[in-house]
Amino acid sequence: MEARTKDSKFLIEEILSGNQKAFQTFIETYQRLVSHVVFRMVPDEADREDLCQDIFLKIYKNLPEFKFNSKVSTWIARIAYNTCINYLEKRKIPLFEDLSTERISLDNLSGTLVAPDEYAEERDISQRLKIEIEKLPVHFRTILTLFHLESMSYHEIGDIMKLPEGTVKSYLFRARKSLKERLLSQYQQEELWHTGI
Amino acid sequence: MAHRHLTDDEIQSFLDGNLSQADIVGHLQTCEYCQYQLKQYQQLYIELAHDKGFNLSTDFARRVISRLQTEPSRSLMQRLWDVSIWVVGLLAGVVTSFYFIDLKLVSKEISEALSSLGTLNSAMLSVFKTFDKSLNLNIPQLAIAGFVLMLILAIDHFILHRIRNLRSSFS
Repeated sequence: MEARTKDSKFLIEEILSGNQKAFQTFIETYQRLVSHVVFRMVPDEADREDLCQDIFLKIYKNLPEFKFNSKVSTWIARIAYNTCINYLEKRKIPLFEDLSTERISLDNLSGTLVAPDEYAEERDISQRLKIEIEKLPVHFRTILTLFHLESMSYHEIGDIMKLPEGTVKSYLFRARKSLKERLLSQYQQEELWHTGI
Repeated sequence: MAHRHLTDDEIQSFLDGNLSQADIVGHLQTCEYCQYQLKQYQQLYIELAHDKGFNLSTDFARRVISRLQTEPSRSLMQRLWDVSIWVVGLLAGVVTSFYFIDLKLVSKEISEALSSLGTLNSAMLSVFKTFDKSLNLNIPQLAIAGFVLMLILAIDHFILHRIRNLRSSFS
């Protein structure tokens, strides 16, 4: 961790001194993180890569302001998250911000089950999971991504999304429980379908 | 815990490393139902950690760099725009000052004050009195000038700034 911070600091100093090769290395180091956030938050495939580019341009412009008060990855994820939120708001794509207040439960969402024959083409469990994740509210998808793909802590995720740590934990648990139940429900439904019961 | 099944939250806390093994292992050894639940969550965790389908183009970094190289021309245009706004503002300020202040009277009074310079205090006092006398104050005109200035600031802050930010974010 210490070594990585030193590497990042050196890389950022090089970028600020005008070394373009260093910025290329920086992009290659963090493009996985940015693509995870963007691909999970933005439904339109055509816009994803452009948005990733915009995020790195923003990072480049704001790099002189970064004072190492947080981890570089946390800072980058925050910029990526905010950029995606702006994008979604601009396109009036619902964020489910008021999930808890309006009591839109995940159980209600699971009511839109896909017919078993639609699943027949996507027998791979990973594909099924991907489909189910895409049905979740954007905040749930983002938390799942940052926790499982980026190994971030509840605290870091809360810092990125400006949510209390307890809320992050609660959303994460609810999302995983919902996914487990929905996948299991699909599996059982499909089994019944194929056995003709 | 030995007499009831583990909740979903407890299983997830255990897998996240927030519950100690001692709290849970004893129960899991004797409860097949909870073992099954744990296995399901373990499978889910494995699948969630796979990052398939997040691939950017192979030359992604190069594309960002090439966009970066086209940015200066845009920022140069922005800077020119900013400078022109400043120049217009400055000229408007100077013209307004000339309109409201009788410059001949000011220069005359200042030169008189400086020539009969007795003490520094009396000279400064004289200069301030001169400004007071030479101000050709017209309250309605001042109000209109203030309103126009506020309008320009509001347009710059609420419209032009936002357009520039949007351009830099999404172009």
